[in-house]
Amino acid sequence: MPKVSIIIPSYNHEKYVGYALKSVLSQTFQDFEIIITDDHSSDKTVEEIKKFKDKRIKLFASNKNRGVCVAINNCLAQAKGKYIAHLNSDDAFFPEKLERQVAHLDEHPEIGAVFSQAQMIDEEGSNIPDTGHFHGKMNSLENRNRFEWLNYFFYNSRWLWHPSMMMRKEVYYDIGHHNPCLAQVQDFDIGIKLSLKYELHIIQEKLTKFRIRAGEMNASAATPKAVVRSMFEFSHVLKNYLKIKNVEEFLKIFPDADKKHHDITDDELIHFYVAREAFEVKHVFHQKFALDVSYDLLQNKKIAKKLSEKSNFDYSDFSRLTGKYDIYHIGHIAYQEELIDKLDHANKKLSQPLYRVMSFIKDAFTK
Amino acid sequence: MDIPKVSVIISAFNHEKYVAESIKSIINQTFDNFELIVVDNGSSDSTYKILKGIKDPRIRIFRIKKNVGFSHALNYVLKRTKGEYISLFSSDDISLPNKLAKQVKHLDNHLDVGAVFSQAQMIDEQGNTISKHYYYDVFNKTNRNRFQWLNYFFHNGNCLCFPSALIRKSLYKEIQFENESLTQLHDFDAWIRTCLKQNIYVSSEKLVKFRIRSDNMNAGADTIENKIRSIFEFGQVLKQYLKIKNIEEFTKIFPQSQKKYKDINDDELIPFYVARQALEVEHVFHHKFTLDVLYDLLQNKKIVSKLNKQCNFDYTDFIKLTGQYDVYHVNHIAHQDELIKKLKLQYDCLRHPFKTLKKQYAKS
Repeated sequence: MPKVSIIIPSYNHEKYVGYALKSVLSQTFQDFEIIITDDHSSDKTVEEIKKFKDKRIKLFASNKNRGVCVAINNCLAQAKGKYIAHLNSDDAFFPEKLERQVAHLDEHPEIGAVFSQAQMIDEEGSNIPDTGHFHGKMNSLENRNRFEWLNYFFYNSRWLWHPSMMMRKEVYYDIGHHNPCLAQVQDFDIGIKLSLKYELHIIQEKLTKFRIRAGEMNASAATPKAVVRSMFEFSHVLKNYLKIKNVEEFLKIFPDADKKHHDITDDELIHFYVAREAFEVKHVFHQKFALDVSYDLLQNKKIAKKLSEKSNFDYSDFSRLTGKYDIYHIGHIAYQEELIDKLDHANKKLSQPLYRVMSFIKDAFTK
Repeated sequence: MDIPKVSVIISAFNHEKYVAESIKSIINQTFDNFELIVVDNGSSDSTYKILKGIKDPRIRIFRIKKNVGFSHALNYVLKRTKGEYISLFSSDDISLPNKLAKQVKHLDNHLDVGAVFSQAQMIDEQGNTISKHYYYDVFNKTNRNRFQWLNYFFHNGNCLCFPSALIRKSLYKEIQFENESLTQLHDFDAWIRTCLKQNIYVSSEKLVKFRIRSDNMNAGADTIENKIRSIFEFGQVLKQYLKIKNIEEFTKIFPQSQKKYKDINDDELIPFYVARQALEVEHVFHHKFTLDVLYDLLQNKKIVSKLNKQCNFDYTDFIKLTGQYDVYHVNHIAHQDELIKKLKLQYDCLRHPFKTLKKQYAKS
């Protein structure tokens, strides 16, 4: 049995997949298998992979595009290694990546998954400096404990360099597989699930290469559809925070909450405490999450009574919130429409020659 | 004292101008076997004082010091009712004298009917008849069976006039009275829960006068907060449709769906069928409802496998939907921002042509 399974969901990366595979095969650590699931690429990705004759490569080609999570889960189901390393078919490893991370996991049984910094590269493979792209900020993230990470993830809605992740297989099995309902923030989802149970560690060196594609070619690029989808998905991924076990854990994740509110004492009200924190984040998906959670909570009369007694929160408070948080932005849209109408009207008026002459004269006088 | 046949309940709030007339219209009913329970919901005007001045042995008055939600106040009163039927009423509306007599008779004679309603005459603040108002059309719908009502509610929202309702207390209790988490659509939610259990009857006679306030003072008035809240609440109320018991019931409510899709045959997939139906309604809250329901459904692997086999629906179909339905309107907003930018430039060019040209030139 190999020590490490490198799992690669591949999709339409004929130009890069060879580079990715070479970077794995030339590792200083060689006790691994590579499991690839191709998600029905329409280019020559599969042919490129087949050019590699190494017996440690196992390729599964899907007969239909099923989404990256299904591909990852398929890889996971086949993986035999003790540790699982992720790689995207357009990214790559530095030669010592596996060696360094295996050593770290071997020496630190308390760590569930290990990460590294990443060198961003462009389509030709040239380095992009950390300052050249907003992802570069991820290289300045310092290590912290899992509670602090959960706090960071909650407010920033940002994850780590996913292709730098090496996770213990039993941890993966414990926290569940990639959620196939997600297509934008599935890695972030895994990150929260991981941190709810295990510590993670970043090796503060660039052991991974992350490719930044021009235009809108990264899976995470902000196309209109991806933006819409991400916002939807974030609101559901936040549900992971409802699994916080007790008040003690909650306070470790949200130490500031205790200073603001002095009522955090009841394990049964964790959902409320989480929703209350979410209301304060200026993201519409946090607010949607908070409204939906609060609504469901209030359907339980026992909880509603507790909330009223212990947290001074009752139905009329909720009603205020449902009128306040304009998750559909209808207020803003109405404001825009009014402005458009005004401008349109003014422009039509200005287009009339006589009116223009008049306003020129007026201008001349006021000057 | 005998147990009254009907409990008329009113939650009054700041209606000093109307409350006396409203109560009088109940006291003067031709049907007299009722109790009238009024709660003053923290009024800051003289509503409570006026109420205390009304002398009739059938009336009981309560007071909640600090104003609470309307549905909370209703539940407060409902707990104190003794009658077999509950008549819901408001402190600014007016009942015609034979309202209770007619409605009680209908419930007595039709055991299959759980609640009766009537159409409504709109009046203004002075009590004058109004014929042109948005509500006019809304409330005045002809009767249909409960499945047809559920279909109507699903697509269009509420159309039943709250102060016209007379409902069996046993049924009201069974549906657990009012949902206090709702402010704008609490009654709508209750009607859906009612129709999921029993038929209702809406008489085409106008047995109540419904007052339209000119100053946005109706509880359902068009303020931005109320709009935002209504949209949110509609998304939640739709969840009631997930309680549809079986395929037979689903098909009766959504007969058009059975024609369109040939896969409706599994009771366990009703939430999916409902969500799919909601996607066809052009409301953002229906779409939000659909996406949220589907997301939760797809967390269940057994259901996923069924959906895949029976409805040809899988994760990739779902992912397509999550990119397509822009419930937060972000793309629409971006599009309008572009338009505003263009119009502003156009405005500047027209208003200050030389300055703008110079600026543009400097930029390039």
